[in-house]
Amino acid sequence: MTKKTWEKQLIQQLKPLPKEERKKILDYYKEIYGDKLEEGVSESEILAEFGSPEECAARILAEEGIEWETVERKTGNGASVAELVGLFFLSLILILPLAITAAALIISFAAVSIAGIAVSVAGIFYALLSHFFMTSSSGAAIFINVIIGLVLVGVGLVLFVGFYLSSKYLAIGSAKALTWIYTRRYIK
Amino acid sequence: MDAQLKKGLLDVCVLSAIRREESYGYKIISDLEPYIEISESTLYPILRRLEQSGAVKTRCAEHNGRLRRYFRITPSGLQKIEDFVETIDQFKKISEFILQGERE
Repeated sequence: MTKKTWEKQLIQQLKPLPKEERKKILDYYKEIYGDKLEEGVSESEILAEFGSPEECAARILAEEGIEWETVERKTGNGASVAELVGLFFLSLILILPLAITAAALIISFAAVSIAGIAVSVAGIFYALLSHFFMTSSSGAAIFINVIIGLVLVGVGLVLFVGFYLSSKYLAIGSAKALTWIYTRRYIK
Repeated sequence: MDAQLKKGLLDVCVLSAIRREESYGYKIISDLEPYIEISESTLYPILRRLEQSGAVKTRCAEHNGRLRRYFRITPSGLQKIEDFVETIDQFKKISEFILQGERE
């Protein structure tokens, strides 16, 4: 790791702090870096002595009373009881109805897209078979029936593609939203 | 050493390191290292705390074309050292009592 990347990572880890404070901390490390360099210590040695940016930031943040905690669905450790209770009620009141609505929409969209396939297939059969069963029909009537069949195929395809894509992206979007809500980091 | 005890000790150690004359981060660490374990990341919050409580004052000065922050002790910082010396006296008595119990 170079000095540049070390500093960049440190700043990133210090995000919960105000900007001036972050700059002060960076200046502090830069100053000591310069002093050690003057003493003849090499870049890699200095950075090794400093320790990882994560460790340095964690120590400073801990002193400021800021701790990063991740609330995970599985482990849940590190989260206070109040946070978990809050999350539970949030789930019950807000997320659960939304999730049910999303699931219902996904299922109905999927159903419509399957129906679209059925309509297309029906359209093909209608166009192909209509003149066999309509023995008395004229050439014009057969032509009109073929047109109707093709229109049905078109409508079916549009329904299938449109609703297949809608249900797919709705499902992906809901999954992403859920992961974001349950695994996002909380600042104390 | 107990973390809480060490925290209190470090504050006074840092104050003692700048008692005679003003000093800067790297020098404070180098001066204290023979006596107590202290790293850059430990020193920073201590200096910040001492500055906020008015025990030290800081100034920036140029050194070899870069900036260095110097720390000097204030009367309030000196008082903190005095308070600690008193605590040590009490501690001596208590430790004698504890050691007596050990021997018996």
